[in-house]
Amino acid sequence: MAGDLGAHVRMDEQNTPFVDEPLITDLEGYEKLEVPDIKDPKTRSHVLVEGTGIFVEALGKEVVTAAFLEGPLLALTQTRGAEYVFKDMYDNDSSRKAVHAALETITDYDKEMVKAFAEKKPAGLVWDYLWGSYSCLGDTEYMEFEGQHKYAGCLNELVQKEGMANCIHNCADLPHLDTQIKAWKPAIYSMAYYPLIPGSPSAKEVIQKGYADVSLVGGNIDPQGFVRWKPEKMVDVTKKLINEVITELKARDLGGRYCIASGCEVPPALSTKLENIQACVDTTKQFGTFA
Amino acid sequence: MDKERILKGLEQAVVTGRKEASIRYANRALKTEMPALEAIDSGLIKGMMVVGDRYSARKMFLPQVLLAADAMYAALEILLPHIPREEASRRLNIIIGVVEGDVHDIGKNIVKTMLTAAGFNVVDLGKDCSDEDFVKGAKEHHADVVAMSTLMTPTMDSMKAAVDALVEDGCRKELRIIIGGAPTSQEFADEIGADMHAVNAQEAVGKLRSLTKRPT
Ligand code: B12
Ligand SMILES: [Zn+2]
Repeated sequence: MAGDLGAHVRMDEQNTPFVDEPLITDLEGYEKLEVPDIKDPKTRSHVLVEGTGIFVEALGKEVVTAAFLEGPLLALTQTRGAEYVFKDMYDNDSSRKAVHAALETITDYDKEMVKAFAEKKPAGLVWDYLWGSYSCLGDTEYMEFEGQHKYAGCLNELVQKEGMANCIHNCADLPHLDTQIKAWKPAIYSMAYYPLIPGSPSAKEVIQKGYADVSLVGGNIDPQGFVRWKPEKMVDVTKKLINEVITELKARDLGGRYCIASGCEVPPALSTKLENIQACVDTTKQFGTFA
Repeated sequence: MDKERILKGLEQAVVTGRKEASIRYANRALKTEMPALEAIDSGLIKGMMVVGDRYSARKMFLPQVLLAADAMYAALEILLPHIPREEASRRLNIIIGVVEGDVHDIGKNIVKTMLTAAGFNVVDLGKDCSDEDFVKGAKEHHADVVAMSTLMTPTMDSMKAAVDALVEDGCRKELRIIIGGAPTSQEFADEIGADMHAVNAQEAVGKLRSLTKRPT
C-alpha cells in the first residue's frame, strides 16, 4: 500500500519487500496523501486484487481462501517511517491532527480495497493490524490511532457486510488480545509466540483465557522453523503444539477451535524447505483430530 | 533560577518528552555555570532512566519514549561540548547497527538511547549494515564496543558474518561485541564469537557498565 501511496519500495530477490524511501517527510505530507486509483493496472493494489481473484478461481472450491490487507496504521508507518508517526501522534496538536488526517485517507483506501477484494469472492479477508502490541503501543494509544470505530472498527464491519469472514493477523510479541479478539470477535485470529519475552501468550494461555471461545485461533509454530529445522524436528514441534492445544480445548469443551499454523508467515525464501511444510501438515492430519 | 529547579526541569522535560523545555533548561544550566556533567547526570539521565523503567513496566509506550529520547538528545547536543575533555575521553565508544538484510530498527534505537543516557559515546550506523560498515565504523570511531541488532532469524547469519569480518580485519581483539534482538541469545553469542548478549536496553546498560576502557 505504501508503494501505491507513493513511497519507494525496495524489492530484493531474497527478502520481503520493504520501503527504503518514505513518502511523507513533514506534517504537510500527511494531509497530502490521496487514495490511489486501485483499478490502474500499474498499481500493486490492482495486482493483489487480481492475483487474489486468480487464486480463488483456481483453489476456492478446495481450500479456504483469503485476501490479505494492511490496516491503516501499518500502511501509514510504512509510508512515513514508524518512529516519526509515533512521535507525531503526541508531539503537538497539529501533528496529532495530521496523523489522523492521513489515517482517514488510508482508511478510505482500505475500504476500496475491501470492496474490490469482495468482488473476487474469497472466503475471508485478513487484516494485518501489527501495531496492536504492548511492546509498541498501550491500550489508549492503540485505541486512538487504530482501534476506534472510524478506523479498524468500521473496516471490520465492512468486511462482514461484504460477505467475507473477518480475520486478523498479528504476529507481534505482546498482542492486544482483549481488543483484537474479545472486542472485535474475528472469525480467525493468527498469532505468534515468543518464549523468551515475558508475557508473550502461548497457545495454552490463549485458550485458557477464553480467547478461543470467541475466535478460531491459529498459529504458533516458529516461522523460521520452516527454514532451519529438519523435518523430524518439525514433526516433534507440531506434535507438542497439538497435544498442548487438545488438552486445553478439551478442558473448555471447545471442540476443534485451533488451527495449527506458522506464527506469521511461511518465509518466502528459497531456503524454506518444502519437506518442513509437508511434515507440519501431515503431522496435523495424523494427530490433530480428537473426539 | 536555582540549581534544583534547573535539574528538576531537565528531568521533567525528558519524562514528558518536551524538547523545547529541555533545550531551555540546558541553556539555563550553562548560563548559571552549572557543570555540564551535573546537568546531564542529575537532570537528563535521571529523567531518561525513569522513562526506561516505565517502558519496561509497560506504563509508557513507544510514542512517549521516542519523544523523551528527542528531548534528551536535543539537550545533550548543547551540554556535551561543555564536558571536560578528559571526562569525554574516559567514556566508552560504542558503535551500534542493525545487520545486513534487516530493517527493523526501533529496538536498536531504544538501546542506543538508553546507552547514551548511561553515559556512553554512541555512534549509530543505522540499519541494513554490511560487514564492511561495521569494520569501517569500528575503526573510524575508535570503538571499544560493537553492538549489533537483528530481529529476524535469517539475518542472524549476517551477524556471524559481521563478527567474522571484524576478526579477519584484526580489529576484533581490541573490541567487545554485544548482540541483541529477539532471536538471539547468549548461546548464539558464544557460537558466533561475540562476547555478550542482552535481552533489552536496560540489561545492555547493566552489562556494559562493568566494562572499562581499553588502553590506548
Ligand atoms: C514493527 C515490526 C516491523 C516493522 C518495522 C519498523 C521499523 N522501523 O523497525 C515493519 C512493518 C517495517 C516490519 C517489516 C518486516 N518484518 Co517485522 N516486525 C515488527 C514487530 C511487530 C515489532 C518489532 C519492534 O519494533 N518491537 C519494538 C522494539 C522496541 O522491541 P525490539 O525490537 O524487540 O527491541 C528490544 C529487544 O529486542 C532488544 N534489542 C534489540 N536490538 C538489540 C541490540 C542489542 C545490542 C541489544 C543488547 C538488545 C537489543 O532491546 C530492545 C529494547 O528493549 C516484530 C514482532 C515483535 N517482536 O513483536 C516483527 C518481526 C520482527 N518481523 C518479522 C518479519 C518476518 C518482517 C518482514 C520480513 C515482513 C513480514 N512478514 O512481516 C519485514 C522485514 C523486512 C526486512 N528486510 O527487514 C518477523 C521476523 C521473524 C523471524 N524470527 O525471522 C517478526 C518477529 C514477526 C514474526 N513473528 O514473524 N516489521
Ligand atoms: Zn506476521
